[in-house]
Amino acid sequence: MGKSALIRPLLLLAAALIIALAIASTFGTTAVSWRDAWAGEPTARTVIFDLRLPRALLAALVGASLAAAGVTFQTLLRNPLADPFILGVSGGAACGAAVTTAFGWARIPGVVSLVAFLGACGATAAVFILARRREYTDPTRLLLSGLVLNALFSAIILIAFALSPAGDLTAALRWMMGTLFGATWSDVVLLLLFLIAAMIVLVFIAGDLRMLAFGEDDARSRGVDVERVKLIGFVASSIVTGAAVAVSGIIGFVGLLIPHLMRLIWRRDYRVLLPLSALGGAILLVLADLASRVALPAAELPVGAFTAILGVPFFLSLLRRSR
Amino acid sequence: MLDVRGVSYAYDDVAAVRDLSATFQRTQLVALTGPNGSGKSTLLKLLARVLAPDSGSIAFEDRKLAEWPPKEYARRVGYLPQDPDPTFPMRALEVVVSGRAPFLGRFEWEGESDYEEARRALALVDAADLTDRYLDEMSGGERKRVFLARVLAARPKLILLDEPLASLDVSHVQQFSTLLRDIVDRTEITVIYATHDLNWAAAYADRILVMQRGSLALDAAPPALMRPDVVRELFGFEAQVVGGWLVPARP
Amino acid sequence: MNIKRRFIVHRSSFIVLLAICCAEPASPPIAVHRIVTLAPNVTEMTYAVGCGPRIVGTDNFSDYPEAVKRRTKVGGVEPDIEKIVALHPDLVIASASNAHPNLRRALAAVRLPLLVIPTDRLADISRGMAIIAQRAGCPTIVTITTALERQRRKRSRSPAVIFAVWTSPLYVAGRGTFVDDLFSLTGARNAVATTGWPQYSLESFAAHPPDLLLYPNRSVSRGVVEDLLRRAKVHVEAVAVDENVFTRPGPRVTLAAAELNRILDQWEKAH
Repeated sequence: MGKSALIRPLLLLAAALIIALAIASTFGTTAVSWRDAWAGEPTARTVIFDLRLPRALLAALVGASLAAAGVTFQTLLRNPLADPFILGVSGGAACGAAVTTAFGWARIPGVVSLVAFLGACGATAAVFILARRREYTDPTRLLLSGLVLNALFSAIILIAFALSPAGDLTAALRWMMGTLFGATWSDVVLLLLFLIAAMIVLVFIAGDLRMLAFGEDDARSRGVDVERVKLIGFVASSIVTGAAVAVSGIIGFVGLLIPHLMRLIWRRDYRVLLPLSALGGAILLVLADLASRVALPAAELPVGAFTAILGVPFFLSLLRRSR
Repeated sequence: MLDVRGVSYAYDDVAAVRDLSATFQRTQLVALTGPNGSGKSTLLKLLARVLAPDSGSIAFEDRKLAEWPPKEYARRVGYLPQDPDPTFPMRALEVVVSGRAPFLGRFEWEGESDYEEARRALALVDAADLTDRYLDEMSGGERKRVFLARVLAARPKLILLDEPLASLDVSHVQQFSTLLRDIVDRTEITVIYATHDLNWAAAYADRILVMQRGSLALDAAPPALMRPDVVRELFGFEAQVVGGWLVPARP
Repeated sequence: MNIKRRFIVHRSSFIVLLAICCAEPASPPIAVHRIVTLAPNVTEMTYAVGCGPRIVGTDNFSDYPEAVKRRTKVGGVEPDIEKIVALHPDLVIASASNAHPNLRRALAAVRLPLLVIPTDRLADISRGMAIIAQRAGCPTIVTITTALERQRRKRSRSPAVIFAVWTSPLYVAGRGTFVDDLFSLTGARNAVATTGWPQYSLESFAAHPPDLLLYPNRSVSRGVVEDLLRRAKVHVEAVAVDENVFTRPGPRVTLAAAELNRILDQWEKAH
């Protein structure tokens, strides 16, 4: 009961994540073995420790960030259809990326990531300010503002793409579909810092967020500072989503699907869902990235497609088996 | 126990509660009635600290609400809003044990004693058989009882219920009203509940408050209400008392 | 030590420190035996300077000369770094116009040197080949400048020409591109005024129809072009050109110039 309900699934998922990371580091488009890598054979070492491992870890971090943000948004907005991009984050990030491509700055390394991150944060701030009225942020207004802003961003993106140099367009489109191409250890460290910071914040307000699930007035009557919790929750989730998007583009389904998957299997209590969703998201994305790398021999497919291909059937089978 | 003095609250420019004063003691079942928009919900929210009054003061056990630390107040005063609907369906026991939240520290989880209290509360509302059932599998009446148990799980001294009888069919209204009466008599708790139904209120409550456009029009024991002239003045319709019940008068 | 000497020692050690910390790690002139190329034109350029046999892997789209088709393919827009690493190249060469922004980082992480060749203009081609030859130590010095000059024409009547890369929507070669340079070389006039590879509206096309519309013969079909002309309600002479030489700014661009001259000569004769 209570905390003990968390320990067992947590250990189970952590073990599954380690196994997933091991598998993702073992398989790829070239045949190298762990034994060679440990023995110091240069190709094997490079492929496993400089390519596959940082990429798998980055996939795990992106998946964890998106799933944690997803479950937080679903709780804050009291809406099961919320995902981390719903408040304009994806639109803002993609808009930033598209605009840099249109201006021809996309070639400069790091620019797209930085502008995407700023775009994501800027969009969330805009949505929040639009929805705020007399110190109160109505979840419905937030959703509507997010929807409207996303539509505006889509328009800007289409225009930017029309004006972009044709060569940069393909890379930009790939980014929008989500990609972990060129993942390095510095990416891993950066996103790890963001994720740890966000998780600390979210764990801090987890108890309050759980009470929010019963309604805002209800939570207020029980001593929860609802407006402050909403603000903190939104900011933490949006920042970590922005960081994930800056690194990997827009990878859908993880933030929406994983929280529901965890709810079907385990509990609906946010305090339990947060860490479990983070782990679940990590596992899904590691496996999806592996699939996107090895599915076709001579091409790398968009990872966002595989999060759906892997996640949806699993989800549907659980849905059918549940009450 | 609860002292309300000259409290007013307005939504934007619309006054919902005007200069309202009332006192509440222990072990009372108080029915709050009045037409729609008379300010019943707002008053309950003010008492529950969901809203803060624009003017006037509310004191609980001789201490102003603003001086009570929120969680301590929440341990003593429970609130049940209209139509509670947790976004994701949960089991009854989980729902009820969350009512123990005001007793938990920031990182604390519910312990055995909290689960004991939750079960006790479910037994109190005669819903022990619903413990492991999911909310979306229950009828309206069963859900209301589970949420009542949630409020009672903290062993509050005062509970505020916003329209708990609304949307219940007649047998459940009687069941619930009896339950409230029972709880007040057994645990010496004070219950203030908002309701539309004058008859059921009069049949069970110790005291009836009638609100009209934000002010208290009547604050008395039921017999004072069950009179055609009072009803005509307060509610604007012709009634007659038949067998202890108010019924519309035949034209 | 006296003051003067101490000052000299300090200054020189400062300079040495500066050199050590701020100098770019110079690529030592190691012999380049294994090359991976990431664009079709880069592949052809590498072959032209005699380093063809050293190529161990190319991108998916490289197909000339014939031998290239048998080389290991490492991918398209997002090349498979693992595959590249497994080929043990000494040098990776990419084209500036389609290199992935993260490519340099990705290759730096696995300690593979990357050479990026700009190929936007006609003059970049010879320059690019010289850079490749110098960097990789290739045997042949090649320039296409003379061959191109032989294709230079001055015409009494310059036809207005548009080169359409794609028809739906209409993307064309603008000013400041190697196609534009080809036009100038062969005495044609580029009907497009904007720079780069812009979109071209059907309206502009209808309002100021060119004398000639050129399109790549593999990516764009005749039917699509005729449909475009029908929609714009103009009668324009449309000619298909060899895609392999018209869309690759590489050594075979001389063939493109020759083909362009043939088309323009024919046009001049007919009008």
